[in-house]
Amino acid sequence: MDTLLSVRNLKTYFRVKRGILRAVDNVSFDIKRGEVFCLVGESGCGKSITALSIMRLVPYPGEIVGGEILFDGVDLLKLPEEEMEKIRGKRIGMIFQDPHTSLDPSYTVGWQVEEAILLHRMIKKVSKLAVNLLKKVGIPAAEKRYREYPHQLSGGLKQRAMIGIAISNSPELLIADEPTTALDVTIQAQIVDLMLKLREENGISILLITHDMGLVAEACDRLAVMYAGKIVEKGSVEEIFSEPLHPYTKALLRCVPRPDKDVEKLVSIPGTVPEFPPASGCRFADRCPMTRKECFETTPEEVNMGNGHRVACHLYG
Amino acid sequence: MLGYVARRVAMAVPTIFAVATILFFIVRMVPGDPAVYLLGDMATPERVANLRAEMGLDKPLYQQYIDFMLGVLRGDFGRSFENGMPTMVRVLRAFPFTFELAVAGTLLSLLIGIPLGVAAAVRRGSKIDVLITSGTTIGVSIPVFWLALLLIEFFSVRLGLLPVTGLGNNPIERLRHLALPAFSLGIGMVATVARMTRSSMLGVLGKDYITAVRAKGAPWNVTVYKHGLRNAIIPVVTVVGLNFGYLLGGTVLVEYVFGRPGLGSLLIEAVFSRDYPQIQASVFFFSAVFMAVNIFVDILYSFLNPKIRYG
Ligand SMILES: Nc1ncnc2c1ncn2[C@@H]1O[C@H](COP(=O)(O)OP(=O)(O)OP(=O)(O)O)[C@@H](O)[C@H]1O
Ligand SMILES: [Mg+2]
Repeated sequence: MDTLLSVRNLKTYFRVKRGILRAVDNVSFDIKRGEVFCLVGESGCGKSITALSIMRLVPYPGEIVGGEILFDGVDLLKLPEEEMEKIRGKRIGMIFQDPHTSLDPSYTVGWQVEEAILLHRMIKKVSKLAVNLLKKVGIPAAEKRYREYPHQLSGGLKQRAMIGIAISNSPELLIADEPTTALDVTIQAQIVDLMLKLREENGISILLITHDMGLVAEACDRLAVMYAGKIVEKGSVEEIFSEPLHPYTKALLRCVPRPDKDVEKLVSIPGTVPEFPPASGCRFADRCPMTRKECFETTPEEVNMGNGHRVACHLYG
Repeated sequence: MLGYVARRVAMAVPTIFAVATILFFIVRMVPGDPAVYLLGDMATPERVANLRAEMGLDKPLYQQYIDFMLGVLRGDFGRSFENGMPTMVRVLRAFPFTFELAVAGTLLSLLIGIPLGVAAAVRRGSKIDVLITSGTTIGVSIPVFWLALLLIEFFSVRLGLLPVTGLGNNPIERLRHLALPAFSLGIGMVATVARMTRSSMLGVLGKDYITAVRAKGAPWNVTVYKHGLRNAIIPVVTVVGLNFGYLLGGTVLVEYVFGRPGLGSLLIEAVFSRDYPQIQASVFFFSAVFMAVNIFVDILYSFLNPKIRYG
């Protein structure tokens, strides 16, 4: 399998009043064609900003200050804005965390699907295509839903419509930023199944952002674990689930909710993600149970542990 | 929807009667006797008494009030003391001029205010934004009559570009005559519209669906107008609509300064001559229009907002 997307040393910073917030700091990962790649980590660790950086839609006052984003060999960060507009929605589709706020309340669902198509293709019979798309993403009574406004649809149907919009121009990459977090558990499974079906049928690559380790185990091929703007560990699901190396990954996996116990996902790691971590040293150091002196002094380099399993931790340096 | 409108109208009826009552007493509290005004200071007390009887002012106050309210119920607002014409007829003849002025003022405020607000929101924090935001702060606080005089001085007296008074007798002339009054009337609203548009727009542009539209590949300007403005405009239209009533109030001053005919001029004239029935009819009509506009705005709002329309 060849590489579709290669993010290299990506740096996205926010200039806020209290200083420079390094939301994404030197992040690198590759996504191969046809694979589901997961980005996991706690709230606030920079997952969404990484995704938005790929789309070049980082919100103000954020700014991509360094790195490369090679999509099919082309550096997206070097493209003029008009060229980037041809890639968004056409070659890379995106769906968002909250389907209730991702559709424009003033237009019908059908209109919004058509807009997505017409932004990239001149098609006369666009309404037929739009209805077919709604059918394809499993919306029942698609003809009726086509004429309805977003608030008339349930969360699950809205997220299906969003997926329909995202895949309307058969993109090569689908970025899904916590696509199930805002949905009921039963609906979550349906949405995941739908995405996996699309991958199966269309060979689409998926960048799946989540903090649900159960979903990672179920859906994904390879993953990267992010902490405070940095990737601390990455590799295949089998490798990482059978032999997690980084203390943060271990903690994350211990936090997977088990059916027999009603545990909240991430509460068992004490402390929170630091917003302004020290410039040098490991960012996880103040929460890590296994720190040594060097953890507070030097930033750990990424180490290759074989089979594409990489970890940035002094324990393995 | 129809039931809703009916309910709103029904709710307005008691308000209208309260307005009529307050109006009746306020008018009679203003010092000055209509009969004395019409006959002049030199009239004999006998003639004054006769005229007062003719006007019905010799009856006890409660009897006058009952007569007035019964008239209102029948839609009869009496005849003008001044010229004996039915007061409502005079009101209805004057209203189109006032309406024209108020509509022109509103349109002007939208036409200027919305682009200013959008420009400020899109370039938030820039020099343009600061200029527009501070400019509109001054705008809201300019007194209408002062601005009107300033405009007359500059455009009519100095430059001789625009006429001061009158109406004009062909469409182009009519617009030229409308320009300064409409601008004086609308300028305060320009500021309100611009600020509302700016804040509403900033709110909308921060919404998830804006990012989602951009992720579809829509260019920034398409996103701003098709999705940003489309959603940001709803509260702006509501505020403008609700302000239309106040704008109507503002026409009184503007019509007076520019010597335009209209409801405002009619009202001021009636106040000067203590023409009670005419004052009552004019103000009653003003309030009825004010309430009708509010109901209409509510309907328009629900029409613009699908969530309410189909909810
Ligand atoms: N508009 C913004 N202004 C300032 N800082 C921001 C902004 N958006 C994000 N950040 C910062 O960037 C960091 C990463 O945010 P991001 O949204 O990528 O987190 P996340 O991993 O997606 O979390 P979640 O799971 O809650 O979605 C956070 O520390 C956040 O404070
Ligand atoms: Mg996020």
